[in-house]
Amino acid sequence: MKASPAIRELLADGTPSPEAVDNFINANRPFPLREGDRATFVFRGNADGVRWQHFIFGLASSQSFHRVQGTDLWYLTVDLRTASRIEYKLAVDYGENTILIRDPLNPLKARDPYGANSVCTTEGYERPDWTLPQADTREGTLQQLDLHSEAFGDHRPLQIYLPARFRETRRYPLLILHDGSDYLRYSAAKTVLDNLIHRLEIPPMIVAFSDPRDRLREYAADPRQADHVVNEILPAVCDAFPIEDRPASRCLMGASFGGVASLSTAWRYPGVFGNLFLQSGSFAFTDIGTHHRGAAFDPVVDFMNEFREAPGRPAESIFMSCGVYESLIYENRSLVPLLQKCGIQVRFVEARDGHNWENWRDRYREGLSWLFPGPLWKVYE
Amino acid sequence: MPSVTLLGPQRLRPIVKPVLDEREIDGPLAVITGGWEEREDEVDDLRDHCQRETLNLGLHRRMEAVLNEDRALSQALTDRNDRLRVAQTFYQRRLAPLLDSVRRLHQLKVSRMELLPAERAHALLSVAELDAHYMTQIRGIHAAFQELWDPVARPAVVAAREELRELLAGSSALLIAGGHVGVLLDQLTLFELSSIVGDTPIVAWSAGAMVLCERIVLFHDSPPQGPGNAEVYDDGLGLAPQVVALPHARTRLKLSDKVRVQILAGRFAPASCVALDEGCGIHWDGQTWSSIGPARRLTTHGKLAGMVAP
Repeated sequence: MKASPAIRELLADGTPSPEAVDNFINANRPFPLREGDRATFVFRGNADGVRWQHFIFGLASSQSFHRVQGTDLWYLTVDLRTASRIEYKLAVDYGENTILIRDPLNPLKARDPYGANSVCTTEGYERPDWTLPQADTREGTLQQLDLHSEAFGDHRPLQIYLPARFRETRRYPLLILHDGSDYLRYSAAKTVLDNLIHRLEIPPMIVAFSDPRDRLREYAADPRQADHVVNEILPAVCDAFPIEDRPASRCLMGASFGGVASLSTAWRYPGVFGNLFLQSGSFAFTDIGTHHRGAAFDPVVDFMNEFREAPGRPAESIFMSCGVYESLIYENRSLVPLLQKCGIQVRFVEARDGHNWENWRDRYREGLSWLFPGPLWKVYE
Repeated sequence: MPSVTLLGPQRLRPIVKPVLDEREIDGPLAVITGGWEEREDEVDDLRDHCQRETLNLGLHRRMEAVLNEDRALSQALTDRNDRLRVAQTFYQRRLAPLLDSVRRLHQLKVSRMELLPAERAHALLSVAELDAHYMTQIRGIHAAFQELWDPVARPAVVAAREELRELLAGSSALLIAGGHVGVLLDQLTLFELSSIVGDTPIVAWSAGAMVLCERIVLFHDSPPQGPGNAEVYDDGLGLAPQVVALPHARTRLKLSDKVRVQILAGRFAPASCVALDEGCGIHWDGQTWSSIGPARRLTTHGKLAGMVAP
């Protein structure tokens, strides 16, 4: 590990005084300190050990901080690639107890269904402006559509996004999302849709946000989920709203297990959805032997193995994205030539990010504008 | 030829009213909002802003009615549009490498830099020649359609034109709003509005401004897909001479990118590429252009400059 120039300067005259440490921290906030492609994480406290717990596949997932002798200052300098976005936590040891915390010196965080992580970004990454509310953007609306599912035998309301200036007399493309509430909560889905539609980069569209009850089971290529989407969600939305009645105007989207659910649904009902948007799909498979991803993946692996044997033509166009810091990157990469061989138009995009909702948020523009090009070139209002 | 005022977008900071006030246009206004398509009738904000009586010409509705009534003409237009689309595809395919080579020549660092300007100029000429070739192709498609179908002689169009002529006769100015530039152009050409507008002053903005120019240029420097190659779309009505209207220039163009500005300005010279953003515009009095607000034109030096008579 190369030491950070800022740390070297701090330690140049030996053990720094508490005041010098205070000054160092105040002068360099917020952390991590970014120096070119190097990031230095800092922790202050009388702990027995501090480790950087990140989610970068390919690096040791836990890296120890160094304590500056005679102080309560801990630091870790790591080399990272430009344009990266990394979510992490700090594991702090106190005797035999370890607590997992967000970085107290880093205000940047990302929320997910399990809480929140600290976020480190490197030079070249900027949060896209279209993921943030814009003053002049016309806003769409969200409303609930009640739905009883025969496939699951329960009640599954949908959240329906209607674009700004929605008109009953017009017909719209339809996007159905798995993990809808998470997309809305952690991936700024509504803000992004509002902005991309306002910027004419995608056409005004209707979006159905659906949610699972037993996610790991239902989204693991469960035939009931496919039945639910095709025979319950699709007709219900088409009955209630003016939807363009052709496969090319329909898209199924999901991330992680939601990607599996999307692919599995389109595979079981080919020709229904012209487009798929698959983000970091959990497309685990085996060529021989068993997998090591845990029992939840058993049906996924069975499905993917079956799919790889006989992929058919689940859709006409598929946009796939995956973070290069995810273990799933290899499975996603390997799926691309298989789909292309089936005559499907495939666009695959990698990002220096991990398996998280903000990675998926940042890919919206590229994916949706490829699947549904907006009237950008011809409309000047 | 009527006096023509071209303005930037009007949604957030409209200046149509002060422009009308300045020109002492106080009577009823004929309004074309056909570029808004099915939202054509949503003119309340515009009427409130202008504080004048407005007569919506309803071109979108009228065109729909004509095409419903005259199915043969409708089918012929569909066929024509298919041919135009194919021609456009060929054009776009050929345009991409030509523009790429111009940009590469601008980035090139060579030992004999003095040789580069001639290469750049010649490469840009190739782009302009392709633009001209494309225009020849689509003019041929339009001419063939015109000769075979002569839309203004079709009974449904004749009747609509008569109504439009009457509405325009009672108006002190014609306002043409933005929206879908292709749809708007189709409406204006189907009813051959330029031949019935007479000397009625025209105030147009965004896509409305684009269709009044001699040449319509579609543009976006940073679209979500593709390299953002500005392309010629079609002939405009030619009522705004010697300019290429570029509405929303601040958001659509990389105006600080010297090379892009240089290429765009050089490609369409001697016409002036005019950045029409909110709060500004240009006015043609039949002889010369003058600025309204901070209107700027793109120069072949890659910078923006004030509007001067081209």
